[in-house]
Amino acid sequence: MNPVGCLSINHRVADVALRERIDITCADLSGLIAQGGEAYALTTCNRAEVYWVGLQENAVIDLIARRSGLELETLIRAVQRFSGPEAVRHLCLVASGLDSLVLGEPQILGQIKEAYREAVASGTTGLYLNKALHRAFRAAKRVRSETEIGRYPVSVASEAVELAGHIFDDIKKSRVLVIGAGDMATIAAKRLKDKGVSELYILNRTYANACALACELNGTARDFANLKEELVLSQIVITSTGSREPIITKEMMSEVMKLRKGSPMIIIDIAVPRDVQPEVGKLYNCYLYDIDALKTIVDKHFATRQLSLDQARAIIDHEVQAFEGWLESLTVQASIKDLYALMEGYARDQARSMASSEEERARMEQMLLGALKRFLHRPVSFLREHPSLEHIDYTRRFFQLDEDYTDRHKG
Amino acid sequence: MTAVVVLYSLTGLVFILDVFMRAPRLALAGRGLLAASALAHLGVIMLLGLKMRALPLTSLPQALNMMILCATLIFIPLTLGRKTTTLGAFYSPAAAFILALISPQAGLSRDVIPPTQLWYPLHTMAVIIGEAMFIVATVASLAYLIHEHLIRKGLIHAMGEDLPPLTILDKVLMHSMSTGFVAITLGMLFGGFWAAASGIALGDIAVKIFAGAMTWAVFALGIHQRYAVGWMGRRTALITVCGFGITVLAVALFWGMYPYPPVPGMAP
Repeated sequence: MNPVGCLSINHRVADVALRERIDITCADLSGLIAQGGEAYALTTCNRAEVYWVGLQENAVIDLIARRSGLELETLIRAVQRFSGPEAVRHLCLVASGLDSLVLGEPQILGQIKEAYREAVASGTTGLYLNKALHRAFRAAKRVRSETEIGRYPVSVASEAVELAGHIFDDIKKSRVLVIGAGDMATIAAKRLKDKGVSELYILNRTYANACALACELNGTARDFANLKEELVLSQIVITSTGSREPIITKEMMSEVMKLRKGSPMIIIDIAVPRDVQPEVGKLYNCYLYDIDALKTIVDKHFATRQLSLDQARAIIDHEVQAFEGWLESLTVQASIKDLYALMEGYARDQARSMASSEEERARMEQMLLGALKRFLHRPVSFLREHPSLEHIDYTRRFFQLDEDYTDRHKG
Repeated sequence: MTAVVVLYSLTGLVFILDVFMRAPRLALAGRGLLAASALAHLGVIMLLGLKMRALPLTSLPQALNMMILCATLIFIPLTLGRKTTTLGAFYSPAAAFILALISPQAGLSRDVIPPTQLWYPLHTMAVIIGEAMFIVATVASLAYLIHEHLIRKGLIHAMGEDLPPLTILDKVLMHSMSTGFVAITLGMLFGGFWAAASGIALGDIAVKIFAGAMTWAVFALGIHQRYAVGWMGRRTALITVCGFGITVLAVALFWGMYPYPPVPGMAP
């Protein structure tokens, strides 16, 4: 029987005012498992979750209430509970980004892995949760590689970076100009920084704000009066000011493009009202995208993600079943049976590849089976005499009994 | 020759599948097949040359055959680049199509007299390299126009995911145009020396001069507009595609009238 339990306080069931008060780490759970059991905690801006084996649900809720200072009733109303296969399924869904606010977002997997590293360091996870978490990592990897869920960007900032990559050979060498120091422009600039852009210039009507953002992003602040000169020099422009009138006009850009000798540039205008006159997009080699154009592209990607949802769920079902199969195999008899099946498979394959006739093959197979059974006799006897979970798990890991043939042999 | 056409067709199919399925193995197979096509093509041309005991450049189909081989040799390193692999999907089907059209006439020519003038092979090879560069420039231009359209319409993820970035395509276009321009210019000069040394009247090779001048003019216009006026990208690509279209039309129109090395005492 699957012993995993889970409590989840997430964006579906709890508002941000409640979520922001909960911050539970794996180290906090150490006290709970002093008497035995396993525990793992995950806290992100959209969720706080605790997974456990061999603990009482009430003890976990009490601990969260104490740590967050929330009333027990309030907390009980805001939690989602999962147990057994449903808890493992939920973990896989979370790791794959299928339970995220932005469907399929990849950051959550990194956060889960980081929390797992912390759990391993605190020694709070054990046989069951280690296996469940590795299953979840595998499920997330498969969902990303086998479905379209994570294929296309679904944030305006990421899409802007993607578009720039289709125009310029190497974004890292591009000169980026950020006009305005608003949130959206900052996010887009950060994405470009993540991609390795080294030349980042920031322009703002309030020079102090430009300097602050430049400091944050390791860029260079420029005076707003130099707008035209900066446009001539830059390849990627992100603009998001609070101006009521367009700050980049067609006349200005005509001159800029002449001075650039037609060299291409991309302007991402994420301001509302727009900072750039729409006619600018008709200029030769000037690619202009406003917030609506980007949102239209992003919405299409959301639709693609939704279409891949069934495929992703099927992968998760498969991984949950594999975990259940592993749980059932955690007995001495099942492990010995799997061990002999593995050896019989080896003997059969080896005999088939070496023998020249059917008679020779049968004889060789018998001979190999005899030798392998003798070889296995001692570990099998040891396992029968010491049938602890730990020994069973080591045997299964040592002989890689839970992976399929291709997994075992891919190095 | 049929085997070569089949190989090129297969290469084109694999590269096109790669564009839609984005499987690294398909790209690898496409590159391998393109190399195999080039080897087989080279083998066929060498066999023909051995049979003729001369450079197999005695007719327009043979020249086109050689031109395709040259273009393939230029495309092999291009398809090795991660960002330019998809150019193979544009080039290989076109190469297969042209080879299928000319293969019945690209074989052994009757009444072949190997040219005695050194200027002739120099002229022909220079022109062939120039025309092969013209093919490369046209393929890069087509890819540029398609990719730019997809970027402007916001359809990059639907179809243009693996198309090379515009600046790379522009670089390929300009490098091939610059090299092609030098080659064609040299080709025209060598051709003039050959005609003068062989005592050929200009009127007899008017068609040849027209086709060469056409390509030269397209290259010259493209390069001038690119460097002097700043027509980076789309406009240069359009000039190249239109120029290529007109050249193909001219070649098709004057197919039977295209002169090749003259038999002594006869008009070319």
